[in-house]
Formats: sequence, structure tokens, C-alpha cells
Amino acid sequence: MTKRFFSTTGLSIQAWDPSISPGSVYQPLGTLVSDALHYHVEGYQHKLGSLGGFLTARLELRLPALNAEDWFTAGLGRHIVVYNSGMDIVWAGFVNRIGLGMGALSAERGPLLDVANRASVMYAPILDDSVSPPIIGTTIPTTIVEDTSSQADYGVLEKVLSGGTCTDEDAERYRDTFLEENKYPVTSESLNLSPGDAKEPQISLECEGYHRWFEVYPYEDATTGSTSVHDKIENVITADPNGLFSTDYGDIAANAYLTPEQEQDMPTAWAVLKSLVALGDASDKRYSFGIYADQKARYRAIEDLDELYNHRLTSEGQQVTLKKDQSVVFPWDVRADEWMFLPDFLPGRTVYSERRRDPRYIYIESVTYTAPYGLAVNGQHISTLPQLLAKAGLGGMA
Amino acid sequence: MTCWEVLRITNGTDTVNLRSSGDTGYICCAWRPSFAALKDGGVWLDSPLADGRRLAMAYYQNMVQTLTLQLNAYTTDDLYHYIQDLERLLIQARNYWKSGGVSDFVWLEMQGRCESEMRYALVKNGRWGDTPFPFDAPVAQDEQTGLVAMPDIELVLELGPAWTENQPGVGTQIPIGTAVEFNSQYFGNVNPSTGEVVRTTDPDVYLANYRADVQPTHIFRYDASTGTYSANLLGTALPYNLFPSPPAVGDILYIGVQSSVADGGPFSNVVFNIGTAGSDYDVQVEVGTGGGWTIIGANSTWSSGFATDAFITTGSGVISWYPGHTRPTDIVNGITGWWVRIRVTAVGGAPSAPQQAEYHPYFAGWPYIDIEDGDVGGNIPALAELIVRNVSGQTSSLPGRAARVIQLALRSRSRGEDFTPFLNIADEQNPSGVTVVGSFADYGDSPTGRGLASSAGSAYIQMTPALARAYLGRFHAYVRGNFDAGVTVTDAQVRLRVSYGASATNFTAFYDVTADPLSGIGGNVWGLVWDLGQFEIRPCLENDDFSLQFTVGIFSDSGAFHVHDLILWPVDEWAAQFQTAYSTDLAIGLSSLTQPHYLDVDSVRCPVQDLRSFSVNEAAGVYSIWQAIAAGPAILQAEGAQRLYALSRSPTDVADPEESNVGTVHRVSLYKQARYRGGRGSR
Repeated sequence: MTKRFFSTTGLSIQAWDPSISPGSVYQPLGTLVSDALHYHVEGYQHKLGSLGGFLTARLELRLPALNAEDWFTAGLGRHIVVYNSGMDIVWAGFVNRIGLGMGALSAERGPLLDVANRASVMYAPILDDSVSPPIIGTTIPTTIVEDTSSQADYGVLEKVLSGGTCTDEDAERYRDTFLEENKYPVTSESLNLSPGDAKEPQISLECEGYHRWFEVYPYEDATTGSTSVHDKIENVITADPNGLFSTDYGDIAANAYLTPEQEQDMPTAWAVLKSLVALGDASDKRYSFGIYADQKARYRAIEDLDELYNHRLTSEGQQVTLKKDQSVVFPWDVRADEWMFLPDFLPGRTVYSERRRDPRYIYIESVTYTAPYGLAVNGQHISTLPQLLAKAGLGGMA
Repeated sequence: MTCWEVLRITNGTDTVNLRSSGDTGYICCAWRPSFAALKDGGVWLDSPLADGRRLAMAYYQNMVQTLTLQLNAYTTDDLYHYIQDLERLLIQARNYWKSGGVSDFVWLEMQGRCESEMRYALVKNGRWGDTPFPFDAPVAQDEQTGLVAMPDIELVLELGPAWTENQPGVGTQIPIGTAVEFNSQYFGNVNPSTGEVVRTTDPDVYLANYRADVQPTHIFRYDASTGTYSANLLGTALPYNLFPSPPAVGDILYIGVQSSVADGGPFSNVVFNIGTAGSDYDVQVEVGTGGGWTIIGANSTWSSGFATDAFITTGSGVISWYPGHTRPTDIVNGITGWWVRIRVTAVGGAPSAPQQAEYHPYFAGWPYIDIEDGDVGGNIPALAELIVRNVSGQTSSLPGRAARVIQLALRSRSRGEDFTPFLNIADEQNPSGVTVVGSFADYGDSPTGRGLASSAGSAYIQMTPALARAYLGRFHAYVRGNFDAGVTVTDAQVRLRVSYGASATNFTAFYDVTADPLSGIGGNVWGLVWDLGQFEIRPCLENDDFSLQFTVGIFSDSGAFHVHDLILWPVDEWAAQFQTAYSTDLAIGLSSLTQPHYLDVDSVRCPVQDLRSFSVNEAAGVYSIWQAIAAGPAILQAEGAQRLYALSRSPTDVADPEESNVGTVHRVSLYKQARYRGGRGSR
């Protein structure tokens, strides 16, 4: 019998409306919008990175006009999840910006992350302007104002403005105006009436990974003393006002290096996380951090990882394979934050025990998959100096 | 052989013949049927540093057919009416696709001269070429002098990517059936005398949620009026009564497995086929407790409780129950084994005994259906529709046996007849060629009655080279088990290591993963699943003499649990997962597949949707939409014997998909729409 097997080497893409109870629950898998988005996709690309995990995805959809309008009006924040043929998640995130082309109209909605429905202003109050120069107080925040209607639609998106030096009344006016003007996503439209330039209904979805939600809440902790890096990472994640992130911290590696527990001046959670990741550990090893399937965080030491992938430059197939058994890894399954070895590059050269000395080893900083079979891998060599400098307060992660 | 020819466009009601044999109408006078080409010629991997190139992906475009037509009519008006009729169908064809299926679809029917079978193709678009000058002959010929005509009209039809065996939207049911041999008896859809499989289109084919070899060894009818047992009914000619005639209070049907028989063990369902229905009695189902009997919350296809209407209709049916954490043996009529009994508790004025016919009662112990070589046809994968009926239900006393997730996977049997995704982590009931080494204990909620205790630490499953070759391919691995009864468990972890080896002692691990830990209390969950991710057993080892070893390690921070099977879910032909498209709004709750609901996984009946899945209430119609995780439509291989596997799970919420109950039973029906590139002939 001749073997003639059909292989579903492909992706399936789903869209969900999240279920939101403002301030307590943000469940991305709320109500199913479509389990067959892949049939409408004309273009698809996703990117994964060692800092962030599931970074971005871009979908180009061709849809009937009514569906396109639904996506444009209700699509922001929708949960997008992409499965491989073995039903594993290869990318997941949310729609941050939507583009619509229809006839002569080009319209854009978002980005969602620019929305602010909980706002305050940090400012230095003018205590006495009857003297010159005026007497200025220490920087303080205004009270927080919120828009619960916007929060019910999109979850809690908190922004802290810098008000500089101003009066209490001015700071509150800045805050209120900012909230009023930013509580819903912005929309922009343009018309191009040049003959021949009209478009069929087309939607583009610019999606971001859930690590971006660390940018929309500040993290403060008044506790004095020190704590371990991994405990502080968990504290930052737990502080999420939406309850979006998984509380399963099983993929957060233990790192007992001590760091101050206190955080003040309302930095974003993402700024705090990046500074924590930049510290490395007591041995100055570099760590990675990302949000992956089910909004679960992963934090781990890069140098402790085994080489996962191989790529043979001289292979007809131009494919990534697993180093352990040479089985093919489909391009959409290739992950960042892994090591890759090039076995037929510089053949015969000494194999160094330190991978950073050997140009045949690539640490995958980011990987970009473009449908149907495109793959770009960006690599880098790892060193300890940045971690050492970060501990001294010099430099950090971009 | 038929020797006519067919070429026509139709929506099932209105038809335009493109190969008219009369004086008028369309006559297709030239056409070179074309095959669907690959999109962009396929996706090729092409390194400048290596010889040749390699095909990585290939999907078909639509077929584009260019026909040259001659149109004849008696009048000029008729001529234009013919064109309007065809254009109406082409507009309807376009509207179907534009509207997402709101209007009816249109298709082309074609049968070559002396070709045995008709073929069909969906019409997606139609485009006319220019028509002749309208003010002169032959279009404007004087009506009194004869026919008017439009010669050499070009019609370009864009059709679906393949021809089909039936008109679009219509499937052909495939007869299916499965049979096994146990203790020198045949069970399942089988002639019990000859062992010949009896394939059927009736709803008489069952899927278990596990794989086990065990089948009944003894069936007794107990007569309370005389205090005597019948002979073992498995040695009796069919049909036979299931109760004494007439039934009386205290009469009992016993079904059991003798514990001394090789691969004997407990069971959690019994399938019957009632030739003559019984009437006017009540029953209850009881299992042995090691010295007594206890009523179990059995469910059946006759009723949800199986009390007042047991066996009261003819045909196939099943009773099933959750097996429970422990299953002791009992002695019935001198036979020590695992027993279930159906006891008459009340009778009316005119009770009559039900009669078993055609095959002996059996246990549905296989999670697959077989499709035989020649059942599908065509030369590219056929579209498929699968109906999965839940027959194990769910009430408050029957937790966890209604599916909320159903996984399906197709695998060709030519890759290895002895392949099974379900390997029991037990010292019994595995395929020939499997050796399982570990320290095992009795667990009633295991498919075999045996399992690996967390205190034992680990076990390994080793395959002979002959069997290992059947396992080449890609898999998604799961391990199933449960917390021990009444025990609170924290962070129950399962680790899987997969290794190649040239001998029993020389193995090299190539996949090593630990699943996310699970916590809970035994008794509150009804079977657990640990997800261990995907791996490949490389095809290029096919010609090598190699063995496989699967090592399963288990441990917990506190509390005891056990595991009972390793599931290697094949994902390299067609695999899909269907689950309730539930909302996290607790007011809505989860929508599960309970009796009398069925799941319809359909790539046949609605051409505008490549794959749709929804649950249907047998009496009330569509119940809920299910979400499909699948990279393509439901398919069957065009040729060769194949096996379609099913695995059901019952997560309690969207983020908690770990439960999988071995007591779940489904009944299935299968339909296909064979597809062809090019002509059909007699196939």
C-alpha cells in the first residue's frame, strides 16, 4: 500500500470576547466570536521574544462588509489564540489596534492600550506663590478618578500623568480632562477618492501579547526591607487590578537574590518587572521573562537551558529541527528564549564549553513567523556584564 | 454500462442542461477539463547551499473550467430566455458564497459518455464571454426560416477544488462496526459464531473513553421462584431471555468477569441488543461490594435511570456507570469475579421478559471506529461528518460523564494495525509487544482495574521493534489517573520521558517533560488528565531496528494519587478538538454533551462552512455551538483502512480542562463525501 497521508500542517485561529468584571475578573476566553478565523486570513505574522513572550501578531482578514464593521466597532480587546495542528497554543494575545479598508475609506481604531479609564496625576503642589520663588511641596498624587463604563468594556487601564509643578486645582483639572478624552479608543478616518483606489472590505488586526497589560497599572509597595527577585515578580503580577494573569507561578524560577521590596513614585508594573529581570541572579546570569498561554508568566535563567534547536545551513529543507532527535519543528512552532545550534557552520572548530564563545550557538532573542512558511530568528550572545551593571543601577532592559 | 452523458448546472430545483440532445438549448461543443492547480505552485523550501528543493505545503486552488457553448432556440426571445435562466443560476451561485450561505448553493453535474458514475462540483462563479452580433444571422435569423443560434459562446466556471461523489451537502453513510475476541468468545458488532464483523449504519456502534481487553466471561439468569441459575448464557444460542419468563420480583440478570481469566478486570458499561422488548417490570442495577450489593447510579439509553423502562424497546442500548475508586470481587454461582446485576424489583399484571438477539452482551472497551479499505473512495481525502451521541449522560448522581471536550484523530491502519493511542499503565490489557514494568495496585476507576500509585514513583512502557514502528509520527501526550479516594492532594505531578533504544537496556531519551501539577480531593474529580505536550517519533527510523520506552514518573507534595493510562494522541493525519463554546458568565454555566444530545462534527452538509460543530437535542434541535480547534475540515483518507479515535473530557470550567472520566460512553455514526481530482469512472 502506498502511503498517502494528509497532514494538517496548518494553524487554526480563534477570536473571543473577554468576560470582564471591572477590577476583579478579566477572562480572555469569555464568549467565542469565531473558531474559524483562519479561513478569512490573507496574511498572518507573529513574533515571540525573550522579554515579553508572545509579543505581537498581525492578521489581515478579508470579510463581508457586515463582519468587517462588527470587527471594527467591537473588535478591540478581543482575545486571539492561534493553535497548531496538535492543538497546542503557538500565540495568544489581544487586539490592540484595528484597521479597516472599505471602498475609499481607510479607518483605524485604537490602540487599546492608549485608553485610560483610571487616572491620577503626580505633581509637585505650589504651596505658597506669594513669595518668589514660590514654595513647592514634595511630589504627590491626586486622588484617582475612574470611568466604570469604559472599564466594563475594556478592563481597568490605569495611567498616571506627570503634572509637573502646579496647584491642586490644576492637577485635578489635568486628570479629569485626560480621563474624559481618553476613556474610549480613538478612531481616525481618511477618504481616498482617487479613481481606482477603492478597496474591498479588509480588516487588519494588530495584536499584542498580554505582557503589555503590565504597562497599564502602576506598582507601589511601601514595605521596607528586602525580598527575593522571584517573590517580587510574583507580587507585581498579583497586583494586576484586572485579575488577567494566571496565579500559577510554577514557571517562575527561584532566584533568591535580594532586592528592595519597596517601590514608590508609581512606576508601571512593566518598568518594575524589567528592572527585576535585568538584575539576573547572584551569579550574574541573565534571565528571560514572558507571558505565554493562559496568561501564565515564565521567568528562567537563560544559561541553564539546554540547546533545543538545530539548523543545518546546507540542508535542502532549510528547516529547524530538534537537536535531540532531528525531528522537524514547523516554523510556527519555533520559540524564542531557546538556544539553537548550527552544526554545519564552522565545522571542525573547537567546541567551547561556554556557549557565548562559540558562534555556532545562538540564543534566540526573538522569532518572527510569517505565513505560510517564513521564519526569521534573531539571536544574540549572552554575557554577565549587563546584570552586574544593573545591580549597580547602571543600565537595564530596554 | 450506461452510455449517456451529463453536463448541467442546477440548484436542485432549476436545471440548465449544457449538453442538450434536443434541437434547442445549450450544447457544450468544446471543453478541456482542467485539474485544480496548487496555490502558488506550493510552498517550496529551496536552499542555495543544497541540491534540489523540497515541498513544504500544498493546497489546491479552485478548478477553473472554460466551456465553449452553442445555444440554439426556436425564437430570438427563447434565445435570451435561455441565457437568463443560466445567468440566474450563476447569480445564485455567487450569492451563496457572498452571503455566507444564506441562499442555496449551485453545482455542476458531469458524467462522461459511458462513465459509470456522476460527479459533482460546487459552482463559485461563472463568467460569460462575448456573445455574437445581435442584428444579423444566426442570432437574428428570421423566425420563419428555422432555428436561431449563438455559436461559440465562452463560459468560464470557477468550481470548488475537487469533484465529489454526491451533490454538495449530501453525505453517504459508512457502515461501521468493531469486534474483539476475548477468552475464546467474540464480542461487539459481530456474528458470535464466526467472528465476522457485522458493520451497520444503525446507531449500534459505541466508543469507550479508554481501551481495555476485558469482556464478559459469564452471564447468568437467576430465577427467584426456584432459586436456580441458568447455564452461562455466553454458551447459549441467541436469542435468549435476559430474565426468567415471565419476570418476577427477585429475578436477576448477572454479568461478570471471572477474576482468574487472563486480562480479567472490572468494567463500567454493558451493551445489549434487544430483539424482543420486555414490559411491565421495574429493575435496579447493583454492583458487588465484596460480600454485598449496592445500587449504582447507572445510566442507559432506555432511560436516564434505568428503572421502570429497562429493555422496553428493541434495538441496541447500553447501561453505564462511574466505576468508582474500588471494585472488589464477589462470588456468583461459584464464579469469583467482578459482577454487575440487574434485579427485578417490581412487576405489573402482565410482565414479559426481554430477549437478547444477534450478539452477546458486551463491554464497549474501545475508543475508535474502524473504516475499511474501499469504504471511502475518491483520490484525495474525503470530507466527513461524524455524529457522536452521548449515552452515559449526567445527572447529579452521575458526575463527570457528560463530555465538554471531544478530541478526534484519524490514523491509517497501514501505519500499524496494532497501534493504539491508549497504553494502560498497568500490568495487563496492553497490545502484544508492550511490556509495562512497575509496581501496580488495584484501582476501580482504572480501565483495567490496575494502576500506578504515586508511592511507587515510576513505571515504564517498553515496545518491541515490531510494534515501535507502528508509532512513528507526531503525538500529543496525556496521562490519566485520579486522586485516591477521599485524599487531599497537593501538586500531583506527572513526568514523561520518551526514549529510543536498540536494546532493552540501551535507551536514549529524546523527550522529557513534566506536566503542570494538579491539586484536589479524591472523590470530587472523576478522572484527571495531565497534558504532556507534543513530540515526534521520527519517520526516518522506520527501517531501523529500534525499541521505544515511555517512562512515567509521578509524585506529589502531599497526598496519594494514581495514574492508569498514557495516551499518545496522533496529530499528523487529521486531529481536532471540539469543546463547548462556553462563557465564563456563571449564570450561563457550561454546556455539556449530555444524553439525549449529540455532537455533530460536519464538513459535508454546509459547503460554506469548512467545519462546523454543534450539539443537538434529539428532540428539540440545535442546542449549542461548539468551538472547533482544527486546522482543516473533517476528513477521511481516500484509500486504505483507517481508524478514527475519540477522547472525551469534562472540564469543570474554561481554565480547568483536566477531567476525563473512563465511564463516558458515546454512540457514533459516520458519513463521507468522497472527492476526486479528474474523472470518476466506476469508483
